[in-house]
Amino acid sequence: MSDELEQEPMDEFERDLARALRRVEVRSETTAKFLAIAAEARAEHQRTGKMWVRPASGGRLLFLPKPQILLGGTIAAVLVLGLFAGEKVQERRKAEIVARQFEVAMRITGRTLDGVEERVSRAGTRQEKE
Amino acid sequence: MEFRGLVEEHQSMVFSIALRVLGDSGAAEEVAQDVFVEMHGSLERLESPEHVKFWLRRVVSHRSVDYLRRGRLRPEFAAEEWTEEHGRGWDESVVRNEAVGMRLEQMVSSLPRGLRAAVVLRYQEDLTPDEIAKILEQPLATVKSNLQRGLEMLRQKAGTVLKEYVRER
Repeated sequence: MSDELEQEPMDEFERDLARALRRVEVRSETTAKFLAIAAEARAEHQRTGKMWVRPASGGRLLFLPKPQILLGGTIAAVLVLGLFAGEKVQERRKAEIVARQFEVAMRITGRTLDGVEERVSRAGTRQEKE
Repeated sequence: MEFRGLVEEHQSMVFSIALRVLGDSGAAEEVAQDVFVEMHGSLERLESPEHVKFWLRRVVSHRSVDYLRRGRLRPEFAAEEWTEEHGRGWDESVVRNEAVGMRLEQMVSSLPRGLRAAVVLRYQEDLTPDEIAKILEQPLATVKSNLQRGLEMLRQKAGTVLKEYVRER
């Protein structure tokens, strides 16, 4: 295309389109709103370092905390999560040790019982012979 | 550069681009506000009046398209449905009486989303496809094809919906 668009003059329809799309004048209240919101954002940023963001759902601008505070918060959250995870790992290790000790104890008890049983049966055999 | 002066000079351009792309004045006002707040934070980086104009056109076009992507406005017609569906139910007498310009403006605002920004920058801002490609950060071929497609759709639509207008010419 459009060498039509680049070089040739606009046709009647395009000229009508351009006329229909003339810039709209902005009402003075809207100008005041533009200036006020920008001043508010600037003042907030200078005072607190907060950054602005418009929520995806629309509505008023929100001001976020300073990046340093956000970073500090993130580090703190990671530390807390790390501690929690570490505690869980410790608990799991303790439970494993207890289970292993129980298993050993059961094995020892089993062997002891076997020995007792054997001795009892040997004593019984001896009595029968006598 | 003084902020107030820049707002006063460019607000009409910024608001109009957003309005034509979004087709909703409340949404356009919101987008324009965000653009000026962003400009306020970027003033030191804007080097000349031409740079300011280019920057504003680029940012408002992108913010408007982002706004559409977030789906906060009414759903659009797919490109293939547009010619048949758009304008169905318009009262013919209203069409006859209302200004043709207003109908054309409405048609632009309801074009498939991918085509709108290019058409607005071309016919509202009188920019060349090359300039539009730089602003929208799209390949020149894409811009040319979107412009051609948009223009064809508008011509076709005007031919069916604005019959009175066509006959007058």
